[in-house]
Amino acid sequence: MNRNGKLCLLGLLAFALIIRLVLLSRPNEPVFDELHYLPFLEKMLSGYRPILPHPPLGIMLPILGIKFLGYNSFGWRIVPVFFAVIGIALTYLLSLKITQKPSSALYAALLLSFSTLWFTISRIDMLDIFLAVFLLGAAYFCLNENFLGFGLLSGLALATKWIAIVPIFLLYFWFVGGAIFYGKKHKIVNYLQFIGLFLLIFLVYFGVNAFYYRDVNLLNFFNIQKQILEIHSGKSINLAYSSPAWSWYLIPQAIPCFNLAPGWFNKIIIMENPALLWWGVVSALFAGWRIIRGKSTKLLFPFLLWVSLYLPFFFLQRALYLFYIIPALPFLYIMAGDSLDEAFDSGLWSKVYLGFVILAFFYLYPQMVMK
Amino acid sequence: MNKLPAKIIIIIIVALSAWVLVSREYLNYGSQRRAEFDQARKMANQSLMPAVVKIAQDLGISEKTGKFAPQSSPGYLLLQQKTGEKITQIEYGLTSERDLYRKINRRKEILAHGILQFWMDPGPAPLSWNLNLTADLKIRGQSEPAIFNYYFAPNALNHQSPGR
Repeated sequence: MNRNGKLCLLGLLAFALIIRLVLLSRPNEPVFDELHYLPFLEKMLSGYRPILPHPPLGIMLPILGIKFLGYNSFGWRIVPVFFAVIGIALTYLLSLKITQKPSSALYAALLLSFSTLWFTISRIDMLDIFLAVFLLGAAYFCLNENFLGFGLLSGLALATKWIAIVPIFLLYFWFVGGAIFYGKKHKIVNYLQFIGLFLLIFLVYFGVNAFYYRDVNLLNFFNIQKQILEIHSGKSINLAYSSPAWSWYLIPQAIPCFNLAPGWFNKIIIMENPALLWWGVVSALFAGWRIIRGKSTKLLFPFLLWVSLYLPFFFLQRALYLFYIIPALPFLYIMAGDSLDEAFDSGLWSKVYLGFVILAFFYLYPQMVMK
Repeated sequence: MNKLPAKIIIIIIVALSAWVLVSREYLNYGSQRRAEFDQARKMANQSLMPAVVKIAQDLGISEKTGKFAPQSSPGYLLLQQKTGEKITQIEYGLTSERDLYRKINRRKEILAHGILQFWMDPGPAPLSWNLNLTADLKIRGQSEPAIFNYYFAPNALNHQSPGR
């Protein structure tokens, strides 16, 4: 990447951080799913360790912000903000690794930076942004054949939300299969890697659980997992804003999070710019078509990850919400960025599209931020 | 992707998105739903609370603790019946009633407990809403909790027969 490209990326990351920090503490009370997670944080801060409805990492992470900034809305929202910006940087690096084109990678990072869904969720204490970033890191290390990095990040993703298990399986077989079939090392070394990686992921997952629940042995560890499973296999409430998985990428949706009064800057709404989603889906379908026809396989990696983060929801018998697509967005926008670059290079049409995406972001900004 | 089809797709996507984003219905969707929800919550607090308390009495639950969550999440109204040793603290703010159910169920001194959870689903038209209330009542000696469903409509309280 040339100097201008680096400056562009750094500028984009700085911009993404600044717009997230603006009015971050408003409203100074729990918003949306913060109502679920903050009581757990309160208990953790008082030394209790209640059984959590998810693996502990994502629920624990905001404590880092609270330790430095105090128990207030800025404190519990700052960690997701930093994760969102790291996610944009990782999307750039992953896209560069996959496409080998800085312009494609910059497009992917731009699209994610101006994603209204990525923006809003990164300003609320929820788990999805953590999961997305850990998965991005795992995918990056997987492609770079970094054993330790991949094992660690996969374990952390799994220790955030169980839905990570499907993409991690995919990455695991990508990593190990690649080593066995195409690796230069001896086969036995590769098979040992197969087992070692599995153990590493399990140890990280177990370690996070042991760190949180303290006196954990294998027996009560499995009991805790069973209890989490029971929570999620029980009945769930279909709220007014739940929606089936098939509709997430097709029908524009808005989830009201917080509403103080009618008018601009008085509410927070979770939604995604349909221009991003629709171009992303077109790009994914096009990538899939080219993969099947054997014309190009460079987008196979993000395509499979996107599918692995979307398809499982069709089999879940529970209430589903639009924001479950958050971890899949970076992989979708890597494909979208590459399509944009391939179709138009950096010509007028890509500028028109990006201009519209940025314009739409600022048009919707008052719906996502409270003054 | 070839340039021409890509251009056509971009034009369609940008035009459709622009139409969706400036469409008043779409932008107001969130606040309309929110306003309906707030209205329903307000009414529930004002007029239905006595009815909820009556249900608690019907179920043999004498002491009320808990409060409504202030925002978009389902409100939790936790009621408990206690016997034997005193329970000094009721868990509040848990993710699901199953979680609470499990916690309380571990305590052998409890003869019975009920967890009343309500949530509101604002209907398509303002004030057309239901308040669903489910109570899981676990009695010692019974393997399965009895589940009572109550459906509220504005100014009316209908008690449906207990079922599983």
